[in-house]
This record gives sequence, structure tokens and C-alpha cells, in this order.
Amino acid sequence: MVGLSKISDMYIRFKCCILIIDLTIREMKTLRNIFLTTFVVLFASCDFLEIEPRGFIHPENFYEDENDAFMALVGVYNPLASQSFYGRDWFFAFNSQDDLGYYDRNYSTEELFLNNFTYTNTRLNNLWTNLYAGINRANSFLEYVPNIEFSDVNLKKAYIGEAKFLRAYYYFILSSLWEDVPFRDKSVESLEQSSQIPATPKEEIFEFVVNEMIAADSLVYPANHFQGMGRISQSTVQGILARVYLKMAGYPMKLGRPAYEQAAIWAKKVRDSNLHQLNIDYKQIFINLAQDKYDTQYRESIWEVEFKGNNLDGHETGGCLGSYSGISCADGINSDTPGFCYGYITCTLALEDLYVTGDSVRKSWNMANYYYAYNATTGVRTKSYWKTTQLAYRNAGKFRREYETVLPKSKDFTPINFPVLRYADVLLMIAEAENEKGQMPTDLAYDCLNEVRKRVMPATETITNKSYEEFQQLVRDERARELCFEGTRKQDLIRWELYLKSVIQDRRNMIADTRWAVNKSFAANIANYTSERHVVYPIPSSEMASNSQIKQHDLW
Amino acid sequence: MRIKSIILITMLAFTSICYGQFKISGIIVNAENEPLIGVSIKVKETEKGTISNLDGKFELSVEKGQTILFSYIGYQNSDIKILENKALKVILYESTTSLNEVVVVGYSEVKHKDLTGAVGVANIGDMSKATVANFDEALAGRIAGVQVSSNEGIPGGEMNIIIRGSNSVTQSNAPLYVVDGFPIEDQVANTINPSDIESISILKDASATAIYGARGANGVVIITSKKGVVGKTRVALDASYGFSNAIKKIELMDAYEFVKLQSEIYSAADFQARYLKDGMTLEDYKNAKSIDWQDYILQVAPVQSYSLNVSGGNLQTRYNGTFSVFNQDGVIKNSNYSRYQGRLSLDQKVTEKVKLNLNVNYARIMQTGDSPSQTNYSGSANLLPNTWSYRPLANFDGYDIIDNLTDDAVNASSDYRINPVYIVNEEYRKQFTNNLRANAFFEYEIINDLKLKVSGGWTTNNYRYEQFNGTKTRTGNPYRSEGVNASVQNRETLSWVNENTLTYKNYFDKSKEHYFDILVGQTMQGGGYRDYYQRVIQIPKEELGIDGMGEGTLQKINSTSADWRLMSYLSRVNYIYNEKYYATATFRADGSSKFPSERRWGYFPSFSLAWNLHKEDFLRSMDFLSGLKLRTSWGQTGNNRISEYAYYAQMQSLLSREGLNYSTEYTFDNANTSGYVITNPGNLGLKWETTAQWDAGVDLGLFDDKIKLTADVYRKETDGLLLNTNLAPSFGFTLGTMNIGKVRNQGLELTLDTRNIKTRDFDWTSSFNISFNQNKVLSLAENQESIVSIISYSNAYIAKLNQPMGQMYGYVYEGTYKYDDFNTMPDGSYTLKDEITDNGTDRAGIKPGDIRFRDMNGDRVVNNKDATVIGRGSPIHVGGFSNTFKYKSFDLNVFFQWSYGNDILNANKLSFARGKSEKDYNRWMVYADRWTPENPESDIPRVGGWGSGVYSSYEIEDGSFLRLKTLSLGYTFPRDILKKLSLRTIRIYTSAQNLFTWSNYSGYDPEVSTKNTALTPGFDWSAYPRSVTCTFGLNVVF
Repeated sequence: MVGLSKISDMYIRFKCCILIIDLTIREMKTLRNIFLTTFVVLFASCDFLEIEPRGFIHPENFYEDENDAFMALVGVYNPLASQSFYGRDWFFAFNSQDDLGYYDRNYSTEELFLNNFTYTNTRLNNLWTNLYAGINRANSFLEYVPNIEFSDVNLKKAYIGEAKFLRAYYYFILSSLWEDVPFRDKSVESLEQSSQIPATPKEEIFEFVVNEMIAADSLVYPANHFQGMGRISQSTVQGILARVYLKMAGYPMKLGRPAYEQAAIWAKKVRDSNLHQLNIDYKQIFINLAQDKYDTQYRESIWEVEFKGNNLDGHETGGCLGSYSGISCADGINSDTPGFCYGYITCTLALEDLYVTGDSVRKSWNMANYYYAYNATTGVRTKSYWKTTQLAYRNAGKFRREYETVLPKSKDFTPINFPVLRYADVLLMIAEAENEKGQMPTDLAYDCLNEVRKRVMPATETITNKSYEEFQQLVRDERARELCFEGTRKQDLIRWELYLKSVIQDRRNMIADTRWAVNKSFAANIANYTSERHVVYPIPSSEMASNSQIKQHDLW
Repeated sequence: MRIKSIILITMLAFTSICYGQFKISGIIVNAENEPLIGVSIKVKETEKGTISNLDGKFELSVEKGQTILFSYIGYQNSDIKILENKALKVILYESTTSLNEVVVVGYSEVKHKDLTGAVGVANIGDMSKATVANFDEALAGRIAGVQVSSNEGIPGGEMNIIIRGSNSVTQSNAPLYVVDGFPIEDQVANTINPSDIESISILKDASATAIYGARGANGVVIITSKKGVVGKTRVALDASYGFSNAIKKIELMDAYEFVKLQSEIYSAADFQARYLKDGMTLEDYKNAKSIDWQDYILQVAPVQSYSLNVSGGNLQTRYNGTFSVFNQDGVIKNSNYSRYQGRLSLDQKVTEKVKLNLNVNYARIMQTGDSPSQTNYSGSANLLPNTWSYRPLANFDGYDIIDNLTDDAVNASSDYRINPVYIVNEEYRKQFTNNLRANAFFEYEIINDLKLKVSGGWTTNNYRYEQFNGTKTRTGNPYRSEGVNASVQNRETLSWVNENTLTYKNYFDKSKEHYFDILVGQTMQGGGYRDYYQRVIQIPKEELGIDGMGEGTLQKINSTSADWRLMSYLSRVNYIYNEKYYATATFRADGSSKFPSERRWGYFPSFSLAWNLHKEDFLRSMDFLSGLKLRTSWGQTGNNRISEYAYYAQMQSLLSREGLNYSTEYTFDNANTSGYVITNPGNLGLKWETTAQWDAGVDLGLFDDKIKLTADVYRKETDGLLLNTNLAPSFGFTLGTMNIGKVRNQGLELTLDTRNIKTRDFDWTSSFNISFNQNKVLSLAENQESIVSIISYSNAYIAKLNQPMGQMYGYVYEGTYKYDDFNTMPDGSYTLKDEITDNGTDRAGIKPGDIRFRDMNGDRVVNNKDATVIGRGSPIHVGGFSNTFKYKSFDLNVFFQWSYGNDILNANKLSFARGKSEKDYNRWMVYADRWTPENPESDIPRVGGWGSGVYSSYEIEDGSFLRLKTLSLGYTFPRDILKKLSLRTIRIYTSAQNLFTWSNYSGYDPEVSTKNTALTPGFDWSAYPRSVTCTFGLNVVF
């Protein structure tokens, strides 16, 4: 059809020309005749240059009804599942260099895993870019959607609340990683707007984050409104607000008591909603994530970033949980049993020592004591168990591909959802905030901590009568035991100002420990590369190169 | 009108009766006594005239004492005073001077001597000495101010033609091509048979290009194809056959050096276990068999070319038809470029006043193989890095690496390299192009010297790219999830044009001193494309190849299309006084659908003046002077090379990644939901890039034009540079099209043509040209100081205010850290002394032998603040020197081309002479001299001591070169032999391309630019090796 219109167009034009020539030949009057006729033809075709573009929609024409609003909202959620964020790099690169796991490869290349990187790092650039794309989508959404008519006013409020929350969450991640960052709350749709803006201080970013999340809390639906855990619910907003306040209380802003108080208030709201309980089976939480099951009985999982499929079905909605962080099955041949896994993240001796006797449920799940060995002749993979002395080899086992149900299994891409927020985390946040706000554990603090412990160790003694410092240490250790490899540990260590010590001195001591049967030099690499600047990331090169107003972080 | 003519004819009849007229007849021949057809014959006094017929004969009424003028293109004029009524035999000699040659310029032709602008004319004769796939390959170094280079040596690869420096920063700097009157913005060279070309004019200054308005800023290349010549049917056959071979190989580390390298990477235990089994020692590997994988993927490749041309015609109808075949294998195995092409040109004189022309060209082009530099595999899996890095140790530990798909030592799940032989043999890559270009015009002489020309043209280009990856390929092997996979891309591009022009020429006065001509016109052009792509994976039956696609799992369908239109008005006035003073003015208005409606129309004027001093009386006495003309011009032109819908803000929904944009889907409750996101920022301020150019030139001829010199200086300033610019990611987008600033190019061009020796048997002519161009960024948008271009996440190039575009940008390399730079710790380890600068990585990790960079700001930390300009991307001067010798029946052409003063960013060195400590990864031989405890003075970094991926002056090399580009020797059979064979010509020849290249560059070839834009010139990463080609050929004309 493209061709046809052009052919007819050209044909008419030729006709006109021939007509002119014909006229002139017959009439033979003056030159004026020709010019006049020509100009008549030309001005008749003034709309010749107006072309209806194809293949996309202009934003101003896009937002018409609530379906459009929903599709745009999907676009605001979409950055969460990106490879640069929860799809891969968040757990694989940005949070793998903590005290509980290490990158199990001989790697000396410029990379995030070992804190041996520069501001040109690919992953650093990609996450930054991805978060700002999400912010721009949310800004645009929040400008257009209020003007759309909805049949249900609560739905409209919820959409707006979700977009507000997600925008705030993206800024929370940005400012947690980079501190002072450029800030925009108006959409960018045109290059006529300036792209050169300076960074906004972290204090102002966090103020915005808190205000927006509080606003979202009264707009979104309660958690039991949804079957799944992918949509932002009130519990998500409240739980993440608690996490935001804990960050504000600690390094680098160190707001202390008032922030702890707020953290306690918001975390308690989740508890008081009575919508969430701990799943009695710790393992089942992660099996559900792999099997795309949603536990509406306990609702321990509050917010998941959802992944689906294997990226072999024409959709690119798979993640890398289980294949990058999981139990090694790296014989090279891709197969469905149990599924390929690089096993990049391996547990440290510190995690081994955190688990006391009796905590075997969590220990045996989180620290896989086997890997998959391949028999090239039979083509069969079997579990091959590490000896008890081989403490250095155990992969982070939290996310296991053998439970996946989607077939065929892709080498890299899995349907395993990422648990961003669990009720166990909320309980531990209450315990921490309650202890910190008055420098003394409260009854509620004890209750919450014990609840988490009793789930996996029903017979363990109830914790009571601890000093502020003792309780603080208990909560910190409990967070490690419960939440390891879920992408929060490194940020916890940074806000507690323990990060540098734990990956430098503590790691060196670990290497010197005789219980590490062999010299796992890969585990030591990070100690050699880490320095004081690694509590924050450098502004990425793509921003530095194109934004003349931005300044690199002082530590970089 | 009619009445007037009748009166005129009556008067003429009357005069002829009054004076004693008679009919004179005659024949016109050339020096070889062959009749010349269509020679213009005119009585000087009466302006009456005729032309010679098919036998070269003519008849004309004259009277005693009158003079007859004979003129013929390519021949010297002649005049004869008639004293008696006697049959004439007129011999015309071929013209040695080009002054009367006709040069094709925009929308018309002018005599060379009447040119007021800077126009380069290619010497088609010299160019045809080179056996090349496409004409542009032979254009390099031929014309001053025209820089022709290719990104790499792939057969049939596109050439970059840059005229007078790059104006545009990220948008194409390719000129506008006008092929037989059809303006085309895309590359056209591959659809044209070089032997079909009659002439190539390159319009350089604004007075010549402004008539093409919004598309003229990069210069204009006007290509005219051969037309039929009146005379007996002429059949010409060209055939050539030859071979090409890579100019050079890169020296790689052998088995011993490779194993030695592994000993520095493997842990001692692992190394012992793998390489020192059974009492082997490192020294034993000196006797091990080494493989140079380049030998397995490179080949001596045949090239052949055949062309058959038939032409002829009578005074009413002329025709010219060609069929040609070109087939060239690449020096990398399984790469090939072939073309089948046919063309027909028909000229018909309908009446004395009406002329018709039809020209149809069809080409089918097939290309096999990928460009190794333009593929998107992860780093080392690209063909050449894969080849260089693959294990050179042949048979080891019972594993024959030559016959296996992968190296048993590497983990095939994370290392994507495979046996390079499989890459070239098993990966199916084929591109098919069908191109049809048809154009026709109709010319009507309304009254004397007032001509109307209506032309129309149509071109369609169908392109198909098929890829198939079986189980022995990089993406289809069992270590990958996708399984056997395939994709097909179809792209149909079409473009049409309609142009209507009126020309009128006359004298203002009776004495014919004031000549003028006027051109006015209106044109419309439009076009568009439809692109369709699909990809499937997990194809069950590999043996079906691409035909088995239907059985696979559909992975991706992509369908895009776009349209554009352009409407223009144009005009030109030429004024000439007495062949002494020339003035030209042009004006064009262009409206384009690519720009928002308020900024849609652009206006492009130009003016030029020329003074032909040679015609002045005061220079008459200087006999040695055979020509002297001064020219100057100023004008404005534009550039519209942006995508069709660049100014629109766009919202899209994507299932899978497209370019910079990822899938916009998200999953809720385990169901895919499609999302809409904004993928492109709009820009209602988008407008033409406008170039204002000033030019001054002189044409000098000495000693009867034995020496001819043309010199031009120019300055052009391009404002509103269109840039597909990197944006700060915090803006929400990373790329957008905007007008970002101003650039200046200025330069000098010299062309010297000499006839050195001319005797009966020996003839020697030379042609030398040199061009200097300086480029400077004058301003950038939003008060930016610089634009940094990032390649592989490292800054690589910078365009800084008041400096040239495309300068290499990185750290200054300062060798390696030596033992003295460290404190020795009690445990024997080394820590960098506090006063010593780090290298961008963390201090604690730096060891002796690590690469060292200069700390520019003295803060002892190497970071982005220490990046500086480390090389220049553009040359100081480029040029060519051609010599043609003729001795009796032999002809010899020797053509040199050079480039001086440019640097190359040899990115291969980052991995192959620096690099990470990757196991079982071979390097270039230069790396054998790296820092080791035994070689502590070396400035080549130790294994793993590469610093980081930031480019530095370690990767910068001098890219200057001098090349013997073409050497051709021919022998033309003497006339008497031909007579016996009843042939017109036989010539046999041998020709060589790229025979010698003098250069210090360590890569395959210094003519390289694999990320070619004006911002990122001279980047070498996995470039296809350039080849030397030798051919033997035969021309026969029946």
C-alpha cells in the first residue's frame, strides 16, 4: 500500500506536467502561461509535506482511558525487572560483595563484584540509566493520568499511588547507592528541555521519597486486594518506608532517633494490618518463588519483582535468580534437570559461623552443601555433597532451579521471582527500630525477634533481658541468617558503618582461618581492592560525560 | 511567432540570391582516418550549420570567403576559410586540453573554462586501470579535497567519501549522489558497474552545491553513465581475473609463549596439573606444534570481472546497453561479494525540438559473510579476537583442537569463543540486494534556447539478510539455550523523483558580449522503507537450513516503516561578459517532511564570481601563460540526514529489545502484560544543519597547458549541527537528535597536472593532488565544553571547544610500575608508595608490572579528571600522485595514495597487548615481551596488570601511510593486426591494487575505522584485513 499511494501521486504529477506541456505546445502564448499553470499545480499540493507517522503514538494522544493508564503503569513497573536491576545485577553485582557471600571466580578484571571498578563500569551505567528511565515514565504518568476519566475512582487513586511509590522507590535506590543525584519530578518529553542539571543533596531526595511514599500509602489498595505480590500494596509502601527510615537513621545521614521512631511506626503498621504472617515452612517461601505460586494463606512475601518464562518463548521477562546465584550446575550442556547454574555466589565462613546449632533449616537451605556433578558418559547430573571440612565451596542456595516448572529451562533465564520485601524483614525492622529509638529493647522488639527465630527453631529459648548492644548485635545477626542473598545485606552494613571492616579486616581473618580447607583466594580478592570510597558508587561515566552540571562524589 | 519566422526565411532566401552561394561537401575524420559522426559544422558569418552524418560526411551552403568552424567534444576546434568549391577533407585532432571539455554540474553542463565553482572531475581513464568492485574504491586519492576511505577490507564494503572535511558530527557525511539526474542519499556505488561510468563530477564549493540546497552540504557526486554514440554498432568486452591476499598477518604468540603465559595466570598447582604432566617442562613446549589460526580462516581469494557493452545509433536514436558480472571472494574464507548488473540507455530525438531519454539499471548483489567488526558478539567471540586468542597449541593432552568445536580448557558456558574454522565455515550469512533504478526525461525546446525538461525517476531496493546458526556455531551450539536459530530481515526501500526545469540562454546585446542563462525549476521527491525482521530459535532439523525456519519457535517479529518527502524550488542565473568576467547566482528553497512544520522550509543562496585574466590584453604578451582564472564563491547549503520521524516524541510497546530499548513487558500474577513507554524524546526545535562556505580558487595553465595548477582555499562553517547525541541518563533518555553547535572546516587543495614528456613513441603525464583540512568545534549546545564519545563504556574520543572533532581521549600511558615504586611488606608483598600515583584501580591491588598512567592534576589518583587528548583522528594532509607512461603500444599507470598525521586507536591492543588475566587466551607476539619478574624493565603491562578498560595512549598508533594503490601495465595491439582480425581494439593488461603500503601501524592496515563517525574516526577493533589484489585482463572492442 505504501507504494501504491506513491505511484498514484507520481502519476498525477506526471499528468499535470504533461498537461502543462500540452497546453503550451498548443497555445504557444507566453512564458507566463507556463509559470501560472505550474504554480497552480504546486500550491494545490501544499499538504504534500504532511506525513502521518507510523509505528508509534505521540504521548499527548496516548492517554485516553484507564486501559491506557494501566499500560503506562506497566511501563513504570518495567524497570524493576531489568537485567540491570532485580533481573540480574542487583543481586549478582551490586550486592554480592558483602560479608556473607563472595564472587566465586578468579576475577581480576574491572568489575563490581570485587570492588575493583571505575565509573565506566557497564552495570553501574545501566542501573543508573534504567532508574532514571523509570522516573521519567512515572513523571509522565503522573502528569497525564489525573486528567483521565476512570469508572472507579479508587482504581485511579491506586494507579497514581503505585506510580508515586515506584518513582520514590527509584529515587531511594539511587540515593542509597550514589547519595547526591540529579532530581526531576517533571516529565521530559522534548529535547528542548535542558538535560544539564546539578545533583540534589541526599537529604532533599530522601525528604521527597518519604513524602511521596506517605502520600502513596493512602492511595493504594491493601495487600489482600491482590492475588499476587507484584503490585504495590499498602503493606509494601509501609514496609519500604520503614526501610527508608532505617537508611536515614544510619550512614551517611545519621538522623538517629527520630528516623528510628518513624521506622518503627511504619513497620508496625504492617504488623497491625494483620494481613501477614510468617510461613511456617522457611523453604516454601523460595520454592513458591520458583514455581510462580502465590502464598495467600500467610502472605509472608509482601513485594516480589515478578519474572516469567525462559526468554525462549518470544517474551523477555525472565530473570537470572537461580542461574547466576544458585547451586552450581555448570557443566556447559544446557538441560532441564536440574537447570544450568553458574553458581557465582559462594558463602563465606562468616555466614557459617552465624548459624548456631539448631538453625539447620535456614543453614542447609541458604548454604548448599552440594553441587551438581555431570557424568559425561551417562549424561546424568547427580548431587555431589561437600565434605564437612570443605567449608569454602558451598554456593548460596537460596534460589534453586530444581523447583522450576517452566520448561524448557533456559541456560540464563529463570522464572524465579525476587523477594524484595518479606514479613520476616518487617519484624526484624521493628525489632531493630524499637531497640535503637530508646537505646533499649522493648517488649515488642523481643516479640518480633523471637517470632522470626521460633519459626525455624521452635525449641530455641526465648530471648529476653538483653542490653542495648547485645540486642543490637542479635538483630543484626538475625537479619544475616534470615535475609542473606536477598539484596539487603550490603546496604545494612553500610548504614551500620560496618561495611569496610567486614570486607577488609574480617575477610583477611577469614582467609587466615585454618578451617578453610583450601586457600580460597577468590574470597580474598575483595579485601585487596576495597577502600574507604566503596561505601558509595561513583557517578557513572555516561552521566559525567553528558551533564556538565554534575560533580563526581568526593570519595571518587 | 510564426509570422516572424516566415519573414526570416524569406530574407535568408533573398540574401542567398544576392551573393553567389554554393554547396560545399566534405568528410571529417580523426587522426586515425576514421570518420567522425555528429561533428558540429557552422558557418562563422551566418551561424548556419549542420552536423556530419554516419559516414562523417556533410554538405553546407557557403559563399566564397566565409569560414567554416568545426567543433566536436574531445577534439580540438578547427576552422577553414572557403576559397573555392572543392570537397573538403577535415582532420580533427584529439584535444589535449580539457578547457573545452564539458563538465556536468547541477541540472546542466558547462565548459570547463566557464566554471565558476570548485568542481573536481575524475579522470575516468586512470580510474579504470584499477580492478575494483565499485567505482568509489578507485576514487581514493584522485581528487583534491575528496577523502575516500573504507572502514575495513571486506569485499564490496562501503566507502566513506568525505568532501572537504566532516561537517556533521554523528549524522552521515556522505555526499549526495546524483546518478543520471536522480538525487540519492544512500550509498549507490554497489549498484553501478564502474565501466558504465562516463563521467564523475564532484561539486565541492557552495556555488556548485547550493543548487541542491538542503542536501548539498556534504558535497555532491554527479555520476553520468555512458550513452550511445552515433555510429556503427560497437561491442566491447572486458574480462579480468585475479587473486587477492591479505596484506599482512598479525604475529601471534606461539605454543611456547602461550604456555609460558598460562604459567603466569594459572595457579602453580593447576598449571602443574595441566601443562607439566608426565615430566613435561616449559622448555619442552618450544618443540610443540603451533597453530596460527589466521592461516585457517584466511585464504588466497579469486576475483573476476566481466562486462559486455553494446552501443551505437543513428542521428535519431542512440543506445547503450551493458551486462556485467563481478565476483570476488574475500580473504576471509566464505566471504564473497558478487554482482550481476544490466543497464540500458536510450536516447530518441522525436522531432528537432523534442528529445526523450530512458535509462534503466538493474543490479543484483549478493554478499556472503559478516563484517567481523560490526557484529554484536561479546568481546572475544567476534571473529578476529576469537581467532587471535584461540589456543595455538595444536594437539595436546589427547585433544585435537583443530577438529573440535571448543577448546577443552575453557568453560564453554561462559566463554563464547569457538573454533574459528567453524565460525567461517558453519555460520550462514547472506545478503541479497535487488536494485532497480529507472529514470526518463523529456526535453522540449519551446522556442529557440528555451528548453523545458521534465524528468522522472523511480528506484526500489529490496534487501534481504539471512542468518542461520547450526549446532557448530557461536549461538547455535549445545552450550547455548537458543539451539539452532535463524533470522531473516527484509527491507524494501523506494524513492521517486519528479523534476521540472526551464532553461533559457541568450545574449543581452547584438555584439554578443553579454551572455546569460537562466534556470528555474521545481522538484518533488519522496520515499520510504518497510523493514520486516523475524527470528526463530530451537529449529529441530538443522539440515534444512534457512528453509527449516518454519519449524522453530518464533522469537521475535519486528516491523517498521517510514516515509519522507521533499519539495523544492530552484533557480540559477549565469552571466558572462566577453569570456572575461563570470557571475553566477543560485537559490533553492527546500521543504522536508523530516522537520516540524514551523521549521520545514530552508532557503539556500549562493553567489560566485570568476575573472578570466588570461583573456585580458595586459597578459597577452606573456606567451608562457596558457590560462589564468580567479574564482571566488560564497553560499549556503544544508544537511537533512536524520531519521524520518526524529522530531516526534514516541510511545511504544516492545516485546523484545530493539536498539537501545528493552522489552516493555512486565509480569503480574504470572501473566505477561504489555507496557507502553516513551522511547524517544521529541524535538520541535529540530531544523536543518546549515553550512556556509566561502571559496577562492585559481586555475593556472602554463606552456600550452603542459603544466596546469588548480588551487582552492575554503572555509566552511556548519551551524545547527544535527547530532544524535548522548544525553545525560538522568534526563530520562540516553540518545536524541538535536542541533548542537557549530563546526568550522577550512583547508587548501592543490592539483597539479603535467605533461612531462611527449614524443612520437613516449608519453608521460602526471597528476598530483594534496589536500589540507582543519576542523574546529566553534560552539556546543547548552554551553557544553566538550562532547565525549564512549566506546565499550570507556571514554574514547572527545570534541572540545576550539579543537578538532574526533580527538582520541584517554589516559597518558607511562609504562609500568617498577619495584622501586613499592614498599616491601614483611610478608614479601608490595604496597605502592604513598607518593606514587595509582592507575585508576584501587591502590591496594596495584603490583609491580601494572600499567601506569600519568596523573594530570597531581592528586595522585588517576580518574576521569586525568583523561586528556591522546591522539588526532583526522589527517593533516591526504593526497594522491598518479603517473601514466605510454611507450609505443605499452601503457603503465603508477598511482600512490597517502594519508599523513592521523592516529589510530588500536582497540585490539587493549586485549592483545595489555589485557585481563584470562586463561587460555592467546595474545599478539608483542605481548611476549611483557613485564615479568625476569623482565622487570618492560613497559608492557604484566598479565592482569592492565589497569582497567579505559583507553590510553598505549593503544594510540601513528596511522600515516603511503600506498602504491594501483599499478597497471597494458599492451594495446597495433592497428595492422587489428585490421586483419577486424577488431577495433585489443588491450591486455595486468593490474595490482594495494601492492605496497608503507606504514608503522601494527594492525592489519592503517586505513581503518570500524566505528566510523566524525566523532570517532580511526578506531580499529576486529577489522576485516585489507587485501592486495593482482588481476590480468583483456579489453576487446569489435
